[in-house]
Amino acid sequence: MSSSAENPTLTAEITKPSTEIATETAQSAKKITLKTSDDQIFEVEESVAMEFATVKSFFEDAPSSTDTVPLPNVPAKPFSQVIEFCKEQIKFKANPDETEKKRSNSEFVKEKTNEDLVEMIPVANYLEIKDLLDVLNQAVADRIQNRSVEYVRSFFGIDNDFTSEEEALLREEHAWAFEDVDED
Amino acid sequence: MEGAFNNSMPSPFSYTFTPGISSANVTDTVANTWMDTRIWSKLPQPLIDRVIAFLPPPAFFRARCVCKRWYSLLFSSNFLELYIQISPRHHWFLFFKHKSLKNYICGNNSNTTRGSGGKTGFSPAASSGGLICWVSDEAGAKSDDLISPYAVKNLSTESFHIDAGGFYSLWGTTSSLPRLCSLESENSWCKIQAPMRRFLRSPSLVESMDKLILVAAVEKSKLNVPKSLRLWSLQACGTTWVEIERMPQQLYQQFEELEAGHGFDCVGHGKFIAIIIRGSDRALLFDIFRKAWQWIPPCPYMNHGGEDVNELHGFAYEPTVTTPVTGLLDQLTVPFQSFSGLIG
Repeated sequence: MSSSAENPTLTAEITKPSTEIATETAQSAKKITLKTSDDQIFEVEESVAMEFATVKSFFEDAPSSTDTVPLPNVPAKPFSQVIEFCKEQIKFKANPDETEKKRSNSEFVKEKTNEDLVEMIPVANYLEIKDLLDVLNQAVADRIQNRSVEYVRSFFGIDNDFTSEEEALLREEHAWAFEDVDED
Repeated sequence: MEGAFNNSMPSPFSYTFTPGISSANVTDTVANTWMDTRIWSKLPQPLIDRVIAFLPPPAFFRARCVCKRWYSLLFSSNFLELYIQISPRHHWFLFFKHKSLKNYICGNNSNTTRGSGGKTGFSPAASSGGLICWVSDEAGAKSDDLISPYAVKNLSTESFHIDAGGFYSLWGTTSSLPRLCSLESENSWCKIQAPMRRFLRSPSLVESMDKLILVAAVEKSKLNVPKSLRLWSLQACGTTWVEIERMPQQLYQQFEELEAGHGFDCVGHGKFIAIIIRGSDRALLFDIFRKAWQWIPPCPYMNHGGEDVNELHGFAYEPTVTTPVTGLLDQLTVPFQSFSGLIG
């Protein structure tokens, strides 16, 4: 918002539709066309597209552009899930309710497979959607937090580069952290 | 670490996204018909670091055994700065037996408890931002510096309350009623009248999510309402209290029986308020959002039914892998050692 304030024309273009969409869905909103890395075309409401900081700055550089925005690092499958998330987020912008937002976010990640998450993380990072990146990181952290070291290694595909002596010493040093670990 | 401690600590929103990461390799994986957990190895390291920063401290320390790179994150100032910016806050409570080394920590999400050792000759007196202030058990006037990420306050009283936001209030243990509460705001002090003040028993002030909350038992034989424990929240105007909760009657009867007039102490943290019965090891937890009351499970590290009274004391504890003051502490002449050790 701060950067768009420098440009009054742009501010009007961006803020006006986004507030109206949230309240009056009847009004047809401006759509933005985005093209994914696998050449899929997405037509997304402007308010949703502005959730993507990367896309937003594209339009800040070229406010009157009607071109299709290429997203070279974004495959279609995770992108459609990202759009789903951002649509939900916009509702909470107009009507903030932290408890409901938390519930909605945990609902969003609950049904997602590990593959879904791992595909969405780079997309959220590339599109600079901090809320989503946080939600995804938290979801992965939740999935591994009670797991054994061996599980975490295989989960992330990491090779153990400690000698067995080193590892034994470390485990002893952090012995308290090894209580309450789930079975693999 | 020095760089991390300054007043212009970056706001959580100034997080720099990892540049130049292509997700193309992820697409390759998707195209494969077989899938295993190794998909995660396709994720660039900076994005994996971001996941690690979301782990609660016990899982973080366990994760240090995964590989050498993960082990060294605790010493990487880049990682620690990221951690300070994005790691979620953990609203835990720390309980300890006075003058004993048996402390335990209660994590609210899982209601798990952990035992931990303490320092001989010192008792924990306060906690802020993951640090614990220990006060010497020796007699004499006590004056200790509590260093929090937000404020450095010199505390020289036996009873006080402090929170991570830098707000604190003081009153003596002998005064039974904080009839006049003082709030620090722009160097002016104001008097605040407690609600139902003539009928309050064992009142405590706690901080919860930037609000001041008064917790007290309400008792008067001629009062038209049954005895109960009530919570009031101080409104933004700073002069009006609004009742926000009344303990369910059945629970209060249980509570009153255990408490038997000894009084109770309260600690607030995030959306939780812990109410600890004096002279006992029983404590209740109230969730302000969910309006839910529950007994904190008995500490597995204390022997029950023994001769000595297992009196519990507690305060809010926010475990963290690092705090912005760690760099400052390192510069102090006081021989503070491994601060990461405080977690364990």
